[in-house]
Amino acid sequence: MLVVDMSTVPKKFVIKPFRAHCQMDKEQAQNIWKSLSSAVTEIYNKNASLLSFEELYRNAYNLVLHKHGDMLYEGVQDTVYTRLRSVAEQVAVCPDNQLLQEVCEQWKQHQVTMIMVRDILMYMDRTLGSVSSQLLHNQYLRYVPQNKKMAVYDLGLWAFRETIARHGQVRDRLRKLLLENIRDERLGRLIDHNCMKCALYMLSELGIDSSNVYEEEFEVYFLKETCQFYRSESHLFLSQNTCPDYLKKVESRICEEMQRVPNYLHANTRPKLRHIVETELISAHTPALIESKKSGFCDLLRQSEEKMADITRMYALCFQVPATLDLLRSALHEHVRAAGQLLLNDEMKDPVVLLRSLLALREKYDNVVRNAFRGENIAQKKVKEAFESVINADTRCASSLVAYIDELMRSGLKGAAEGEVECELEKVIIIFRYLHDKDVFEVLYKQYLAKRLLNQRSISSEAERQMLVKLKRECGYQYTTKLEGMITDIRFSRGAMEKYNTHRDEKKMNEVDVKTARAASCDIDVTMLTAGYWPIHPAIPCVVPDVAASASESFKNFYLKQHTGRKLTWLTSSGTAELKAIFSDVAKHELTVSTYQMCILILFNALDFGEELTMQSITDATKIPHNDLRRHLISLCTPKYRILLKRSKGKGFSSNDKLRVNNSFASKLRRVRVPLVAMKELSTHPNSSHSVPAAIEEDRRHLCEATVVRIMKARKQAQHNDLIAEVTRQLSQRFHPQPQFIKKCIESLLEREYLERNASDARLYVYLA
Amino acid sequence: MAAQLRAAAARRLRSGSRSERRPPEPPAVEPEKIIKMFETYAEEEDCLGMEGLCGLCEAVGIDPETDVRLLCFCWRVGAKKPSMILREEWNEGMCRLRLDSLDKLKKFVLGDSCDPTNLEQKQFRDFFKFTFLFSREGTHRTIEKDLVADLLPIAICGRSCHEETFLKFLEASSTTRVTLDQWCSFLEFSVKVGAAPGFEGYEEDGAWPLLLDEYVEQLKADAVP
Repeated sequence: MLVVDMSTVPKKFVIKPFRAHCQMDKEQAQNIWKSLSSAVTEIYNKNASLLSFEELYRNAYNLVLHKHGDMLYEGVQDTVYTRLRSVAEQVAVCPDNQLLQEVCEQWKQHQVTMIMVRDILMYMDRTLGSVSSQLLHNQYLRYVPQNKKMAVYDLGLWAFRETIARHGQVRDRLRKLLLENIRDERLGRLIDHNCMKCALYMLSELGIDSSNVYEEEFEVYFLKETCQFYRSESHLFLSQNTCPDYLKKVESRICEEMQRVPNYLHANTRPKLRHIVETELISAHTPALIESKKSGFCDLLRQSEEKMADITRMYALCFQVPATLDLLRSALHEHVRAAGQLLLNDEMKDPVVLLRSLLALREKYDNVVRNAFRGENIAQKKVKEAFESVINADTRCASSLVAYIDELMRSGLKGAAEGEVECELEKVIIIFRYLHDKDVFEVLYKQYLAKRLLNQRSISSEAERQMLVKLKRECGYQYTTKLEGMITDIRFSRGAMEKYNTHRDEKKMNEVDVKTARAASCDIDVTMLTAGYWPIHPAIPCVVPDVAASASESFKNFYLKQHTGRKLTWLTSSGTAELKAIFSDVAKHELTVSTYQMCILILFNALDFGEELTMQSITDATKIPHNDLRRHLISLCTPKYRILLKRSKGKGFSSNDKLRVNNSFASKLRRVRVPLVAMKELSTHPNSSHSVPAAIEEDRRHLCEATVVRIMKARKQAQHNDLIAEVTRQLSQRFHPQPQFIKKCIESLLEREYLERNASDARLYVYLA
Repeated sequence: MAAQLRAAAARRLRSGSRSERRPPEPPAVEPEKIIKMFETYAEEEDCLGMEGLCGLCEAVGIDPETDVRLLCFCWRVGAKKPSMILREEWNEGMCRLRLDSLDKLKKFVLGDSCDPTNLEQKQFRDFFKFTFLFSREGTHRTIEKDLVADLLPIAICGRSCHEETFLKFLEASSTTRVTLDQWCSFLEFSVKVGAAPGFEGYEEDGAWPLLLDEYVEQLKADAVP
């Protein structure tokens, strides 16, 4: 074995010219061609196995090498065309029911054949032809020289297209068959997917580099037919079926069409198909679906608990077509608004019931948004807007809300766990947020809270405090200072009472004087109210019996010693008294009456049995205001609680009426609580009015003017629109002022020379210091 | 004053010389005459009230109730308080205007100087504001609408296409008094906004007083058949 060390051998490359081959003459070429031609024919006849690939390749190679490439090419071209023409004849006479299969068959064969031919003629392709599209992905062949002939494979495609696919007898029939098949499948019959796929892919390949053939020959017609098909189907179906059923059908149809694409359609068709289907099935009918009486969207909403699945389906379908989604949202808004309006149209509704139904309504549509609308923000906003518009159109809502909270605090939250309380109050706050006129709410809430606190009706002070915390969070601390002050007052009162009682007990122990002891023996329970916080206005106190007077004096002195510099006024218009009433030996009762009633009844102690008092004498002795006197007296004369008897018949009092004790008063209970008859003003059914109470209107005006002045002082000057916007923004926590209202306040300030208009621009206001 | 300076300058130019010739003195105004005139007409010590003004008007030859030139004169003189000209105001104003005799006064009042139709917009605005302030009663800040109905046609001097329609509206509306802001804004409104019922140029957020907004709204509603 000879081992050559190549590193030492000097390398020398010599390029020698090709040895000139013998020229191939025309005749030789023709012969070679003939053999190739017959080989191609054999391939067509499926006798390829008899051939030698190597030999054919070599022959072709040689032909091209000897500059007979063109002849070869033309020859091949002829052969292919001739062959295909005869195939075309065959296909053309095929009856309809076999045409599709025939075409597919021929196509498959053609492909196989052409691949073999291409392989044989590959050298020719590379030299003569442009690079076949199939080889383009090879990066080394990316540079395509111009003016080259079409590659053989493509040539074959072209030929097939011209001779067969576009053959007069074939083209239209083929298309018709394809569309018919699809139609059949849509109507529920089974078709041959393979055949379809083969045919359609054939069309797309025949376009060579583009999808023109597929589109022109098939897709355009397909889309048109799809459109018509679904247009008529949807109309028909919708007219005969309910909407939920229609929606189910739509869902399945969309699924089916999308499945059709991978089954046999070209991927490019997918978006176009989808668009058509969505348009015809969804967009075209959305308004009808919303309004329809056959369980349309509105109907479904009404029964949202049962029909949630249907609503979800509708949303999911519309989600794919954003334009229809907007329609759906608007419909939701309208529906909620109408439903709310319906609730409020019922004038007779008790406020607590009204609010409960509002809460239920809100809950219901909240569910719809969360489940069917996937909790989307826009829908939430629409529902919120709907509620806002309903609630603020009617001033009953503010008072209903207050009444509802009152009911919760008195009894609704009884035995509720902390989580439940939180939950209930949170719901309340959600409605509160919808209110525009929060100052109206505040006034009413204060009144109801005062009543609850003074009569000790709240179940849980913790719940009261929680409510205030929530209100504070919504509106700022200024909103709740007074309310909190009220609650604090109650707490301090309790503390003060304890101190007083200890003090009094001590005093009693040290007191020797029996008389003083008895005078101080009337028990007293005082609640201290800070004047500014409570919605009660002190009036001149009436004349109280001595016993009560001395007890209250004693307390007053004690208190003032502790807190010097304060002024105390007794509120005799409120408060209760417990009296031991002895009507006879057997009828001994404890009566719980109002302070005024106590004053009246004690008067009778000084009288003899059966003696009477006139109205006038009662007024003189007690100095109770006239209207209150009537009310408290009537309460003592009602059939159920007839403690006093009066001369005149009927409900009213005459000015010279006389009263005496009813000695035959009887009651099953030992302790009798005498209720006060209701006055019209305290009725819990406020009239549904759209006007705001005068006092609140006045407050608003002051607030608005103060805000304007404050803003102008800071800015020195402001444009009209900017000023209005800023004032609205600052006041929005309490109420929503109308631009006209603010304008009026501005004019008033202009008149009083707080502001002036700029000389050259009437829209500019200037602050006058 | 300015007029005299101009006249003097013109004379100098005409004469063309730079000589130190003093320009001729303008005819002197005699303050005593002015004071005397005041005392002729004033019914009180220090001020020329309505009675006095009426007398003055008679002397000049105009009707105090309907003639706008009275108002214009008072404006020119520089009256600040409603319905009167104070002694100081009279003295200063008449001196400034160089009116020390009844004839000169007559010429002044009956001539162009007191004709508000010649005033340009800015000055007219000032005059218009004055008419309001001058027509108030005492210390009131507003004027009753009946008085406005009489005053407006006189004061506006035909510069408003809204005169009639607005007065009709005002008559029917519930407002009883008109404020200065509303008065002045009416003039601006007349300038900026076209006639009813089109109201071209009217913008809802144009910061017009509510009264004018209501006026537009009312007339627009009426126009709808």
